Amino acid sequence: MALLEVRSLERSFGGLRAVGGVSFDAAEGLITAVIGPNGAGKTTLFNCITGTIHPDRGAVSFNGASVFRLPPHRIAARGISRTYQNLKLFTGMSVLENVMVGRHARSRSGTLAGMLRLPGARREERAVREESMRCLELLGIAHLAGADAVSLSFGQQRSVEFARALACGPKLLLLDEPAAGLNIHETAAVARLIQSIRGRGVTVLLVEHDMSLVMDISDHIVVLSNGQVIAQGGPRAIQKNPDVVRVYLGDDHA
Amino acid sequence: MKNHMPVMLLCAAVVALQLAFTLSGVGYYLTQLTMAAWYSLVVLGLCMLMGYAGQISLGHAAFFAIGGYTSALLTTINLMPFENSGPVAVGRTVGLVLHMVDPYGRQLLYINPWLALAVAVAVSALVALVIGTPVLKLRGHYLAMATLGFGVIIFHVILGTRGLGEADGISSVPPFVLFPGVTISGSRSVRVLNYYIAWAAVVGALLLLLNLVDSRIGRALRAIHGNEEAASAMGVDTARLKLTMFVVSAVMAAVGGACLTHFNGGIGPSEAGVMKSVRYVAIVAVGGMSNLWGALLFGVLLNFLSLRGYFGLYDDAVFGAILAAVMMFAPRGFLTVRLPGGIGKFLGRRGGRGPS
Repeated sequence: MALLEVRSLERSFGGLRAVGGVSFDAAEGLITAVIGPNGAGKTTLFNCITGTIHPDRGAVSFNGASVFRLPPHRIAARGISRTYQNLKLFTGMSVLENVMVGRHARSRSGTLAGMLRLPGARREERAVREESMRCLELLGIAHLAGADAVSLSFGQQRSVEFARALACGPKLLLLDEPAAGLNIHETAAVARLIQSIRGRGVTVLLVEHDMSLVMDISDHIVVLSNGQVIAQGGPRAIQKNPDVVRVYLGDDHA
Repeated sequence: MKNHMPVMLLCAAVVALQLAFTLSGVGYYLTQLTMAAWYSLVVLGLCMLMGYAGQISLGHAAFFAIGGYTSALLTTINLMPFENSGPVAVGRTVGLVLHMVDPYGRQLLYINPWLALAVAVAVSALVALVIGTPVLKLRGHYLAMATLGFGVIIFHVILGTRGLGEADGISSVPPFVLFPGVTISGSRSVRVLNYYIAWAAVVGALLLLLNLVDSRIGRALRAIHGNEEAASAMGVDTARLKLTMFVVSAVMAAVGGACLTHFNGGIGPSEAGVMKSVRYVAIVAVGGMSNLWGALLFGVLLNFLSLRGYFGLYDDAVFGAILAAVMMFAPRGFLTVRLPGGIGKFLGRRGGRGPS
């Protein structure tokens, strides 16, 4: 049984079938990539898995239990975390605070405990702070902890998002175009980072346009076109698959 | 709290004001400052709701009134006819029913204001829960209109209910003995004491809210403000947190309402009026929305001026105009407008970390 199992997932916007019956698995401990041309439905698929939008039909099971149509915070509590293609950091908060919010699902102090600064809440707060600092160190941006998150460069903000997503200790990490807008060196660093995340036992599901990155690090690739899976398999098989070549390069090349 | 300085300064200012007013022969100003302090509980709670949870309420006067009326109603029922009934007798022995002789020499048995306050808190929390659950699903002006409607309904229910005194309200509300020798009462002999009781409550509430802003929950609230979608993807239950803050702010308003009712010895329907709600929103807005210090400062200042009658017949118009002016010229509040010598920065430092 795979860690994440998506079955016949559908989601339409008006007359447009953004995701039209998608099925695939993300096996535990591996890097699975979802690729496809613009508008293939990749981000919608991500949003359906994380609960940001409601799928119309289908099934999503994670770790053996259904997460279909659960609200996003409950899906996060199950151990699914994500980053965004267009960064969504918390404005008006420091880098460290952004990452500490990432730990929300793994802490529990409530309103009264916070108001009264109960010893348990203070202890938990210290632990959250330490864990968040460790995530920043892992990303090599511990020195930016006190900086206003949205004042950073694009690449640094992306690192903050990574740290925030890792802070909750996810079993599955969804990365929406982690290399978008990065130069070759930064992309290589992201590739190393994703591999080291996998090395820590985290399963990775990745949407990415940078083909060399995808082919380098992925264990399994799912190709979407017009909301449908047109191929899946290992990087070599995908590179040779005539349907995939046709979708990306047009009929002449097939 | 890592930084006690601002709160210490506030305490010093409270003492300094009392000394200044008493020594300069205008000790009666303390009465209005006491009332302004009780109103500040509504303002602080509403600031938490608007500035940190990002939800507007144009019906918070209703919660103040629910607190005040619940307390007034329960403590003005004379239980003397039931003196020998079981529950009243038991209540007397455990201190939940108190005895007093009113100014006309009548013997009164009434419910302990502590018990009445507990009921007022429970009722306001329950109403906030029931109203907030559906209403907080709305956004922007829809939420404003729904809470406005709630406020109008409560106002008219009070106005039309004989048991609540209709347009006359409820009077002869007994003093609230907090501890032996510490009583919330409008009597002149305890004016200074009441000033300190009210301000102790304000400082206490402020500390609780400042702690909350600095806690896991406060961080989650600021995250919702910063990016709601990402906050929920990180595990923040946004709907529940908004509801929690709605209830917290409603309870604070109810406590303020109950205590001020004991101080004034009564409450009337105008406390539930729409213009009262507008006034609270105007004060939070002028203080900078997510700035507890700003809300407190302007809340005390404007309520004091209003209670002293400086705005005359234009009282409501002044608050309406303030709200309009803030929205047009300083939508982030007047404390973020450049003030000389970093006063605004100082005031905004602890409470003002919320996003713009």
